[in-house]
Amino acid sequence: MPLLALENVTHFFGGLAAVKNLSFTVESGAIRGLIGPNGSGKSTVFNIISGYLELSSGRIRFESRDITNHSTPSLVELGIARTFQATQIFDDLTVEENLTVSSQVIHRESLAKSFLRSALLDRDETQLRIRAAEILELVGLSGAARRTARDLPYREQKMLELANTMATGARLLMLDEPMAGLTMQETREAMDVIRWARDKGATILLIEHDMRCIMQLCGSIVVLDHGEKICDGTPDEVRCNPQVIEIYLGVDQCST
Amino acid sequence: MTWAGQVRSITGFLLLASGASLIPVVTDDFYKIDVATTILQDLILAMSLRVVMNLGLLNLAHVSLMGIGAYVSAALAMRLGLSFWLTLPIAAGTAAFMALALGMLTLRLHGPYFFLLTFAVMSMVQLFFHSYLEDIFGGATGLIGVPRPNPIGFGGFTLPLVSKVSLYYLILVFWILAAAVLIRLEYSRLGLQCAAIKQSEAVARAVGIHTIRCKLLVLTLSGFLAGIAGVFFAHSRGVINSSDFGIDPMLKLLVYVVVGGVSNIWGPVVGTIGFSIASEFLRSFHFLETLLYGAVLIAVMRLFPEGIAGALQRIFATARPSPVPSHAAAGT
Repeated sequence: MPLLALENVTHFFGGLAAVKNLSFTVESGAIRGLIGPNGSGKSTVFNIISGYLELSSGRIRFESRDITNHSTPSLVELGIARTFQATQIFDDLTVEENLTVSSQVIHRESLAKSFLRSALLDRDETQLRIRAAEILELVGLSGAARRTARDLPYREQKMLELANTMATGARLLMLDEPMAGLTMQETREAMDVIRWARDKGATILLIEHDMRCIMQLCGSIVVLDHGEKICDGTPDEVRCNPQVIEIYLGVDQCST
Repeated sequence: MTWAGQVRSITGFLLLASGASLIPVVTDDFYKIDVATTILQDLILAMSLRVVMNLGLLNLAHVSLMGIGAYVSAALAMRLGLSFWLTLPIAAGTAAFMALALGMLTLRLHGPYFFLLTFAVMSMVQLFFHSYLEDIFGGATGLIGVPRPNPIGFGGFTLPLVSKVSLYYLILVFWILAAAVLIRLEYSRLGLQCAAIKQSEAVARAVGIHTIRCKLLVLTLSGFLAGIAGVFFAHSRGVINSSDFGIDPMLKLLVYVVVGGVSNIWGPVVGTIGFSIASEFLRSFHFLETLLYGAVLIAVMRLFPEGIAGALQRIFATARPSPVPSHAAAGT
């Protein structure tokens, strides 16, 4: 059974169908790409899956559960977390506090209990502390734990957003252009982080414009155009698909 | 949100409470004790308003929640003869329930809509006590002769709560309890979630915080505390009127919180005590009071938009050497 399955998902903005009859699945443990030209509906698909937009019709399943139109926080509790195209972190909190807030969802505490517990991780929460430290180490933020997120350079803010998403303990990470604006060296590091998350048991759904990245990371790719799926296959199949070349890739990369 | 910060806050409030408990010892001037009583009552109101405003919710019906506490408790005591110790939880609970209902009606609205709707609710509550159920709430006259709190009995010993000094100690105890709850909130997981919501509701939801539930809980808690202040107000003064819960007292509270600083737990403390004492010295210019409030509000918003407590915190933070970067990473 796939981890995530979209079945005939449709979303209208007024009279315009931003996503039309879209179906695809994401297998557990995969790194799945979602590509397409600007305005093809990639971020809309993310917003639908993560509960920021309601479906006009269709169904979404996570494992065996129907999660159609669940609220964002309850989706995070189930194990679906995302990043945003424009980096979104808690600007005025420290790196450490960002991770503490993000790992709270793992407890699934009642509000009453969260009132009684200290904001700092308790001594008995060694597991969470080790995990948070491990994530920070991995994204290269160990030395910046006490710094205010706002003061970090762009790359580190992007890494912090990724770290927050991982700290929720999500099994499905949806990453919206994690490489945007990074240098080649930084992109390679970010790719390592994504692979690490996958090796730790997470499944990844990735929107990215950097084709080299997508082709190297993803086992399979969905291509969207005007809200419709035009291709779904391995990187090689996508690269050689004439329709994808025409509307998106521009050049025939089949031979390279 | 560090241990040091929490310890500093608790120490500060303990010092303030001990200082406050000495006031009736060092002075027997009833006027001064009256002023101090009002300050403590306003502190409960301002501190409970601040936690809601800190979530980005400008709740203009806060004073109405106080009014509901006051009217419900006074009416129960006068019409049914119930004891103060019974009307206190009922009235504060009613205020909390109304806060919850207000939240459920309005929390999906943002920015100016929440503010406008609570403004309308405030006017409606005031009109209701002024013009409806006159047999119970006294109409335009209000309620006169609200009984003093019933004495507390420990076995054979009873403590009467009639004198100004005993009422002062009663509100001091209420304030200490309220401050304890609010400090706990500030440094709890829920407090951290609130800080996260304040920064960005979208991100807070993205990491799994049930933002609406959090806001409802804080609003309800704030209503409960405002209700307690209202109950005390009614029974200590003995007279209440719908105009006590209108726009003027609401604006005064708002100025206390905004000038003191919304983002800091000390903000409403600095604002309330500072303004109350200053207005005592400026009594001869009483007719200028509202004008002065306005002028100070504008000046503070221009010079220190984070409020006086926020500005002080910033000055002290830059004066202190920055902490050594931690290699222990999260959670220390």
